[in-house]
Amino acid sequence: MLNDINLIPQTEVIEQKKSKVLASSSVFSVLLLLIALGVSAYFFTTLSKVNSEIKKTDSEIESLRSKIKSMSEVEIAARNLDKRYTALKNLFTGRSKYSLLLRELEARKPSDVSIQNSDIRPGQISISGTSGSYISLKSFMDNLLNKEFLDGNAELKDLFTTLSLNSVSLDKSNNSVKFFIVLTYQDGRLQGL
Amino acid sequence: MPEENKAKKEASMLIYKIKDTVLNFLIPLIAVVGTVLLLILYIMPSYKSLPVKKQELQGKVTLKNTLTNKVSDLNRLVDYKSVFDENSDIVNKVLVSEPEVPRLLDQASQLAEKSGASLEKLSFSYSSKGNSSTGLDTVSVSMGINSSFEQLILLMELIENASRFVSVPSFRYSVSDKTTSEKAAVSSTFSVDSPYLFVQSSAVTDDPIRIDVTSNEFLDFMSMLKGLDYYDFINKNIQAEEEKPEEAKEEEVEPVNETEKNTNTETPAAPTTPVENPTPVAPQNTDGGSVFPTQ
Repeated sequence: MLNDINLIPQTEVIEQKKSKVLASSSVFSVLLLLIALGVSAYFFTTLSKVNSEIKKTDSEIESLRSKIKSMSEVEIAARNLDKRYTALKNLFTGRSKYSLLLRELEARKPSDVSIQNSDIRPGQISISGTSGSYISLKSFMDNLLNKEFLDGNAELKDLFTTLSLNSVSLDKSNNSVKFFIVLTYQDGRLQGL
Repeated sequence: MPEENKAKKEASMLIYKIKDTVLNFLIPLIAVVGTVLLLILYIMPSYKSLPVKKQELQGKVTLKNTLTNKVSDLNRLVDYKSVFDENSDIVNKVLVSEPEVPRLLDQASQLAEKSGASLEKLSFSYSSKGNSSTGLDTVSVSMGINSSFEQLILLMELIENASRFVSVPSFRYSVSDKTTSEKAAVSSTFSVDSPYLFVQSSAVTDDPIRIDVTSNEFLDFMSMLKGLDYYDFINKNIQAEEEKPEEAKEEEVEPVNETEKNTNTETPAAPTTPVENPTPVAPQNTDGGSVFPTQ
């Protein structure tokens, strides 16, 4: 029971609390200052490091630039070569090899079918000609679209895509079949080969 | 004595008050003001500028690496100077700087001659970047050729192998009656497009050089170019008519062939698609050698 008796006057208790609060706020503000100083020191060192690295890199860049400038003639020649090389690569890869197309057409043509006129454009061929019989003409058309055709170029099996028989007529004077077909083909298959 | 004690007591009270003021008021005030000043004047600006500085450093490091690579690329080009010059010469021959029309006409003439075909017509025209199939300024040489079918194929192969780049955008041919040698005469017309490109680069120090003269892709391409057939300029007085582009266009629009015009006993057939081709085809048997289907 003796422990519960507080003989200190109330005003003194309040005074002690005030001084404790004041002391702790002082400590807190000093701590804040210390933290701020610590953060400032971190930023200072980091920024100094970054700035010195920038300066160092700048001097290296200048040195490299002066080396490059001393080889400007080589650089110009390289750029010229690069431009021509790029242009040529595009030209060669985009060029259709019509010799392959003609060979493929010839390979798929039965012997008694003869082509009399042919107009070859990128992706499309118009063919007119004569055939010894309807069967040969049918065979020619089937061969053109046959993706398993063996006698042609193995890389061009699926060269021809669609075929349209626009007209077919019988020439009684020589017992031949005249035809006109329009054939589409994959132009890309003739490029870059 | 009591007065002396009183004075001492007052002095110690004053010291205590001063100490109390310093500890509980001045130091916290200075600390708070110092913290606020640090925050406003140093920490915040530094916090904002640090990422910018880091980004700047990153950019400079990237530029330095680019320049370092460029220096090593240029040094390599200097080391391989003879190969580099040789490749430049080859590329300049394949894609010329100027139209050099007489030389191109001569090459076309030599191509026809080498294939065994007879050159019936030779003319040329110019087309600009926008109008040409190559996307570059182009000289188009129109050729009229009489040959056999094999010679036509050979001519196409020679065109594809010619050292000065030429391409055939489209062509047409027609087969006339049998000739004396029992070979069909093929009459063909086509234009041979040859692009030219004038290149004048300038040195841009900070830009990298993309070409790698030691890469397999480049070496393969150059060996392909080296394998092309080079034609000397033999006939320097070669003559050909210059066509205007309008004329060339009109020629292209001309009807494809005369077979379409022939309406005699013509049987129109529907367009067909692959595999399911419903073409009017007869049974395989023929009667008495007739070419026509039996009913």
